[in-house]
Amino acid sequence: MNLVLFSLCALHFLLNLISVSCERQDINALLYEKFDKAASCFRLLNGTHQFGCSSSVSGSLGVIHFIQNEHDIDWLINNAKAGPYMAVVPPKIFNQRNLMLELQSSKDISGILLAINGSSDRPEYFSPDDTCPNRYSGEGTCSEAWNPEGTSLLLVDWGKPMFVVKDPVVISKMHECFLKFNQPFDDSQIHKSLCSLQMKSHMHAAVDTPTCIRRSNSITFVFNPLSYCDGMGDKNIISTLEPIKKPDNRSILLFSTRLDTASMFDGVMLGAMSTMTGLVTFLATAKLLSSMLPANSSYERNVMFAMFNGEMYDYIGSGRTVYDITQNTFPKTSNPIGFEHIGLMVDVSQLSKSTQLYCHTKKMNNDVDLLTKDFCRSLETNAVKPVTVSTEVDEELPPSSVHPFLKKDKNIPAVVLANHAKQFINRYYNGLMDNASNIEYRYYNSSDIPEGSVQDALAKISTSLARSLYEWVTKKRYSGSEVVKPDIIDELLHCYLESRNCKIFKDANAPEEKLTADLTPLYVGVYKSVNPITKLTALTHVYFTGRDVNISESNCKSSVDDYSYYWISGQSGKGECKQTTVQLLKALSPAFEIDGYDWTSREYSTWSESVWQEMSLRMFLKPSGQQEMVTLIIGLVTLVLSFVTVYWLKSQAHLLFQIEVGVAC
Amino acid sequence: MDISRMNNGSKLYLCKWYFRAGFACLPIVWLINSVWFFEEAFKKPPYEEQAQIKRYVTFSGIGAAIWIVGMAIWVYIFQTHRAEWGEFGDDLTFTIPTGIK
Repeated sequence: MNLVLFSLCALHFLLNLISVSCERQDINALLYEKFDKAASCFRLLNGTHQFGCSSSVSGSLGVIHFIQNEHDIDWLINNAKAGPYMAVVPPKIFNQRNLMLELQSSKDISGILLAINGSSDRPEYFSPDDTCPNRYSGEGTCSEAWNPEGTSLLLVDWGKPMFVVKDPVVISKMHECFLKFNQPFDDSQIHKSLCSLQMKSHMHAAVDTPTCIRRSNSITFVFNPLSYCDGMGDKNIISTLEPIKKPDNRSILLFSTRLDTASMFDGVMLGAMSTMTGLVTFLATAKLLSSMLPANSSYERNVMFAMFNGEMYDYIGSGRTVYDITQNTFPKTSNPIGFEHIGLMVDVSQLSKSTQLYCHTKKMNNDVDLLTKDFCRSLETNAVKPVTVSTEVDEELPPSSVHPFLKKDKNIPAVVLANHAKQFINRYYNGLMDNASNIEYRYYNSSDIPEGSVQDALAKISTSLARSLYEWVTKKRYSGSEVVKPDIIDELLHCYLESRNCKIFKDANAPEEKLTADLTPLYVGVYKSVNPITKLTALTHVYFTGRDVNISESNCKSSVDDYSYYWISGQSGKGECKQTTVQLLKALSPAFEIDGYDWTSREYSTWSESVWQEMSLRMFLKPSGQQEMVTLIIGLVTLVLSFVTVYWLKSQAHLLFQIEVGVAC
Repeated sequence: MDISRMNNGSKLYLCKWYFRAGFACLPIVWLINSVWFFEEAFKKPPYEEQAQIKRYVTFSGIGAAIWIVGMAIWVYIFQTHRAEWGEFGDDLTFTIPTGIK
């Protein structure tokens, strides 16, 4: 008994010891306060320029200075003496392009930290994208300012590091340190130890995409395997209502949306209104349309569902598709389609709780006008109350996946559906605050969803859309009563905006698959690997549109003829086999594959992402110049003194250390 | 190798061969030759082979000096113009620096 007690005691003691030793006490941990939740801006390149941020190789250092207004920036750039400084700016300053460019061009500023003090720190607008997104890759001259409040900060080469911190605890730590050590803000700063930041986010790539691709492929790569950048891209998700037969001269409605968002900072991009609302509506519409049109009956027309990836970066996915169509390899080399098969293209762009839907068509003054207007009219008549549809005739269509198609063949009838007329309603386009609260979303978790909520609006828009697609395919009005339930929209938005570990993603995955509760960013990234969110979205699309087939798990795989087979959990969670036409197709710009491609031609996207090794943000106390000097001098004096002493001792050794010979021990 | 233990004939032979080897674009060999035999050529009391050794040492020294000056000029030009030369500059570079032009 005593022995047990003793061993318990010993164990307790040991545990105590471990818990104490877990806190790092070494010099490094005492000197630096590291912030893990900070996200860094990184470098992107296109055919002609570099954009974004990079620190020096060993990390950039600077004294913290919190900026509240223009005067602070003035002081920092013109009067401050203890530089270089790290400018800590709130979103309202970040929104002012001219002020940010002042900071960017000043040599006394070594880095910028965007401090978003919790979710309440939300300016009225915040969009770092261009006023006309994808300005240089669209069809036309981009004369409309679709995104009037866009600051275009995404397209600035900062030449210094930039981080964003959203955690109020971290910001208050920095602010405390700043107030304690850096006040008063005058010349006395030179003589003091100052609270400072180190930003490490060194980017390997430079100049432009052709340069860094060339460098990555250079001969010395064998001896010096350093990579510089990778082409951006991922996978497009493509499926058809019915498989394309050979020969198949049916007219196809290309129903599309985008799958990605853009962001300046690594790992923080949600794109609730910029992308999510359109994507969720698209998925729900495809689901409803598949159940409205019974399987295995032949229709006069076909629908192709396309979720294009990398669209925010000069239409990577749709540009690739256009290229593949010209190469006769889309969607399959065995049964390719041509542009002449595309009877109509309907793209779902930004939506919100607004039930006023705009059906954008392009002014063409020919037969194309009739086709597009016909569709808008059909959407108008099929609209489920309170959804109302207005036809908006534009000189140029809003930025969307239709552009690469129109660039190739301007007579493709194209329609873009959005919640806005000539200007975005979304004031946070591709911004950090384009989150659930931007679309006024809250998760109802199977409880009653009120009318007027975003879920309700998107469900009704989906229903209206599915009915007009039905009419286009069958040339008959839909007489059934199937609708998209707001619950599905609720669950989908929960999956995309709040937690991956959600009901629909679980049902759509293989039974043994485990999902984590975090969010996957929608930034397209580099082509090398498939994004988790692309896989999840493809599986959801399979779950929604695939047909149930009675096949066992072991036989439910790969593809046979026109179909692929997926084994997914299903609602029961036991697993079921789905037959589908869903394919994941390459969304990599052809610019990276065409030999001798002219990188300045603007024909295809040329974006690449720099390689980096480490991103870190830490705070420390930088001693004053005076103190550093004193330390150095003391060190040098000690060094010289030690040499003199040793020399003197050695020369006097025969006197100092007399060896007594002949003494017996 | 300790040349002080060699006979004069061997010294001349060695010095001559170091001088010849330097022509194979080996300026370091010339540099070593000029330093190593400097004492033999200029400090030692005269002996028969010394005149020849003196000549080899002098020319090795001059050769090495020309190389050093040439290299220094090239390094300066390369370092200051590499970025301007673009693709040609990258082709000449073994370790391309990260993050800069």
